[in-house]
Amino acid sequence: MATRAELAELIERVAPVTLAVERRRPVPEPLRPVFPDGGLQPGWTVGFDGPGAASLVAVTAASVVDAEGWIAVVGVGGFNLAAASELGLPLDRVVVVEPPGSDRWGVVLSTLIDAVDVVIVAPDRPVSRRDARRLVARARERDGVVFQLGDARRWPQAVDLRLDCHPGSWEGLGRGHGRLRQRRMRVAAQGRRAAARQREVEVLLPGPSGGLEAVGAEIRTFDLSRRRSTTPVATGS
Amino acid sequence: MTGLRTLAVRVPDWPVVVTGIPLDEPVVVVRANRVVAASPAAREEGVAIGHRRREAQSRCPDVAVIERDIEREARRFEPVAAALEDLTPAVEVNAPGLLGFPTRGPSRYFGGDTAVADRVRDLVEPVLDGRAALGLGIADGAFAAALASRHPRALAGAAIVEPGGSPAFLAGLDVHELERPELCDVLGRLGLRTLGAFAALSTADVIGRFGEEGVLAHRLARGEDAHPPDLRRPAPDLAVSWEFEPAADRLDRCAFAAKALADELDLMLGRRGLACVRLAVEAENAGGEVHRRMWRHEGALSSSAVADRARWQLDGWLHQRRVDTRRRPDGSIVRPFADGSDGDAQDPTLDAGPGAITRLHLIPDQVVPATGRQLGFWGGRSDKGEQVGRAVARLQGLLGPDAVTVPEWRGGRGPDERIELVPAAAVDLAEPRPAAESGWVGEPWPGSVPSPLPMEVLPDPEPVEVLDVLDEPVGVNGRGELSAEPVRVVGHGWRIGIDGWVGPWPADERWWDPLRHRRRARLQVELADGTACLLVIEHRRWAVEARYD
Repeated sequence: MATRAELAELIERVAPVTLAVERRRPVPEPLRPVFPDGGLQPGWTVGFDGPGAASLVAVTAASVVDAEGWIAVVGVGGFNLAAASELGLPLDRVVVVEPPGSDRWGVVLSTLIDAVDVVIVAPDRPVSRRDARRLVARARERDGVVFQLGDARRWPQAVDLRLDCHPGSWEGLGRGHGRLRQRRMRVAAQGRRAAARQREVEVLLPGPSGGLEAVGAEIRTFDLSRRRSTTPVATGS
Repeated sequence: MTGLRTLAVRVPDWPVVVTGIPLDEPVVVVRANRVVAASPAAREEGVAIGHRRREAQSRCPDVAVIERDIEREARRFEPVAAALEDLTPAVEVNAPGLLGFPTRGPSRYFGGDTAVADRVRDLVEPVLDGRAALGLGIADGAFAAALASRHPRALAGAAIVEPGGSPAFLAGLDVHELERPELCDVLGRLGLRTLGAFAALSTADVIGRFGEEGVLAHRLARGEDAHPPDLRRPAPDLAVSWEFEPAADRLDRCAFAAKALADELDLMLGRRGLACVRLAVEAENAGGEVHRRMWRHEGALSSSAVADRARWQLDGWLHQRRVDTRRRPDGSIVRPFADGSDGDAQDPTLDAGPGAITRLHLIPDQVVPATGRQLGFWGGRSDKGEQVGRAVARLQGLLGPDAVTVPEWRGGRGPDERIELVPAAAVDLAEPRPAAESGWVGEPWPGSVPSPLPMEVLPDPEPVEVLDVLDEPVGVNGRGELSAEPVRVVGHGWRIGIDGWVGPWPADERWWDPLRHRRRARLQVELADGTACLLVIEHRRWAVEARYD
């Protein structure tokens, strides 16, 4: 009769070489509670919206991309790369592409996703359903990640996860003195499948160190799908 | 097995010759602040290739310093290559200033190597018009012939290395003639200072230590051709072509097509595991003429190298046609230096005449199995960067050359002045780029906007009004002080209170330059809705410059 230890060993041996969970890309620690399984699955499309979304996209992209990976920024008007660099985005691995004509979004994005790991895209006008679907399929196939920034209505394809930033409050600025130092903001996440449950987290972006930080010592998450409550529930995994 | 008997035609100091300045005046041609070519007069003064511009000027104060223009070098070399077409169809250009062709057929026809060399001299010298010397070398193998053409004897008649004599001829030469600096450096440190000493190593040892590139160099050092001649022609379906509709008479259109074709060719060869070492560029014009020119490269040609060669070639043909139609109706030899100013116009715009190009073919004339480049042995090239570079090249083909950019750090005070976007075509993405790494701008800029920087810089600042508690406009006086405390911001169709503010931060920039002088002041404000932005005042008008998104 097999002992428990032998069975455990057998399970280890017959398990797939890498589990989907292990392939997940790391997200910034304070954001882990809003991502299912605490990481970003390659091939996903994530939407970012609300005040502070541009900062959130920069800090997430910087965390997701590995030491060799590249980031493409397509059609994001006014995206300040100097500020993104302060949040950790490696500028020596960034390419910036001007917004293509509306008929070329599809080919431009699918060319990019072949070569880079993260595509940050902010369409200035609605993208056709066909182009969006093509890109999402391509990203899934190539294990790339697409971050869609701004108005969700311009993106016809359902995203795997949507992060909505809610207006927060700045600290450090007085009337005629001080300067902006840190911002407290709420990020609500809802998506499909594993991410269907709405989660919310409160973070500092930027925090005292200049990057993304958790509010206080503990990370508060709220399970909003059942009832609106302020009782903290267990964090992530 | 020895290399194919080849005649090499070299015009010494070609980069200097094309400047149009006589060689007996001191001239240096520089690229990236380094001397790449110097006229004999400048060399006598002690200027050497590799010197910095300032070093060259200190040795020879009256030297003329000219920036290198490789396009012009290639364009002006085309008539030299064209002059030899009567002699042989197999002219191969190695680089502007050096070409070669196999002598077997012509030698037999004209009765020996010396006779062929005399014939070449007769054909090429009128084209050069006495402005440049001409070196001819004949040897077994293109590499040995090219080196022979540098021999002092090559300038008078021709330096002829007897059949079978190439290894002996090469043996005494410096190993740096291989023009592979990293490899030669290692060989030098191993005590192998001549080609003969390197050739004496066994092939097995060379491949074990230096890999594919080493074997290639080893073959050259032994007087063989870098790639063993393969008489099989590549399958014709490897050629790629582009139809111009309407016919192209402008270089930019041709260059665009050449780039797209080069990428297509690269992709196709890559899929079959092949690399191209000899490329034929063929163009058909509206008059039905077909121009064809062969380019050779000892290492395999990369996609951008193919595109460059096709572009240079088309430039040469388009330019030649221009000279032809303008003042050579009899079709005699075109002299590249007939008129010093001629042909330097970058963009010949003409009516699409019979010379406009209607079709372009790139034909890989000789292919070898691609053995791949070993990554990371001598330097830190990254595979990923190259992959991105290819995607970028495709996008530039789709959207235009300036549509894809990469950021580089610059100094500046404003929220968006610290980064400049440079066209991705201008940089090599596979190499480390220090200008893109934070810390490139070492010194802080006094008066710059403090961190955190605003995430969104409005491409067009939005005009607003800043009002005080009495709804009177707030201004900034000449001493950089606010006239009253700002209380609310009014934009087009919106009005919002100010919760917090700091400033103004004056920025009086380039006061020494009346045209670019800007005098501004910035105010950081937090609005009642919890957002924050950067307001700027210039010429008494306020605008939202950036948002802390």
